[in-house]
Amino acid sequence: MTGLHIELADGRTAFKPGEPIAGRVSWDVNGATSAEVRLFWYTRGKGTEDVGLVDTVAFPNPQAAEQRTFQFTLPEAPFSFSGKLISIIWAIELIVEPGSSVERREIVVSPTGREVVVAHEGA
Amino acid sequence: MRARDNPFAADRVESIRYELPEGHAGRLLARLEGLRYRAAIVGPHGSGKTTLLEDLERPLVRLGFRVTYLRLDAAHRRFDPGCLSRLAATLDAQDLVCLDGAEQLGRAAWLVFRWRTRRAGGVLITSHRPGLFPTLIECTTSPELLDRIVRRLATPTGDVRTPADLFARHHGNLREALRELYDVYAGTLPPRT
Repeated sequence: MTGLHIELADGRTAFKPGEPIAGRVSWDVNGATSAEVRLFWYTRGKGTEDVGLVDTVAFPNPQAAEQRTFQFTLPEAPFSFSGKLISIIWAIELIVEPGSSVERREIVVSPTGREVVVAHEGA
Repeated sequence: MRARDNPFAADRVESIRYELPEGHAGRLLARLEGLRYRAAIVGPHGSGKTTLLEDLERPLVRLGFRVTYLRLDAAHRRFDPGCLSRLAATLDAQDLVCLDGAEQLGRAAWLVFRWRTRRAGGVLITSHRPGLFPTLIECTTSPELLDRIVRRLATPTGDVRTPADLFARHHGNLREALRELYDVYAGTLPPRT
């Protein structure tokens, strides 16, 4: 049985640029050999996906089932954004080996706490 | 419509893998073995050659090959200096080199590539034209295939439209046809009647 979970402090899902993000991850993976949590952004849209890995927290000596805490500091950019041709999406991801078990939690990063949406964008 | 919600966003299109008829995957691998693992996937632009090459990687690894993937395209028509000589130094019978875009190489460059990869257990290429290696499979497209792909991608939105002339206008290039549908759904291109 595998079970990966990500909990963000205070249940928050929206953050301002430069803010810290704290949370807790837990997993239940038989024979876990490595576990880490990543903060990154990626794109979706007309073009090929681009990914920006911002930070990684590796958990040494993972047990098969346990909880760990983590903290990141967000950069000033990019903001969570959606236009017609491209979206920039922020996420936190927990990866546990073996088996490349993955749990992903999307977050919003912007000064307003909401995704920046551009409705009118030329082709 | 936000880019992330567009049913024809690149990540969703790339999730559609090459469609082989039932039982053909095994026959394809058997044919590749019969060709001593030096063969070409041939087809025009947007016919699925790259997709099929990628899809063959896993079964080739299961057969015991170490797969190395190289890619050339119109923007990158040459290997980086020293790339092939460094690769050649590592190759043995357990290696299979996949080259996507072999048609980008001129005659001399192709001969150098063949020389540099001579020690590999296999070389599988994609090319727009036959003749570089024996043809493993010729990729073809059809209006029916395009329609099936469009329906699979557009189903979540409940709005399924494959313009009747979409396939013909793009000369069977599924990639460009799907890119046009991206623009239609994004509202940046009016739908053609």
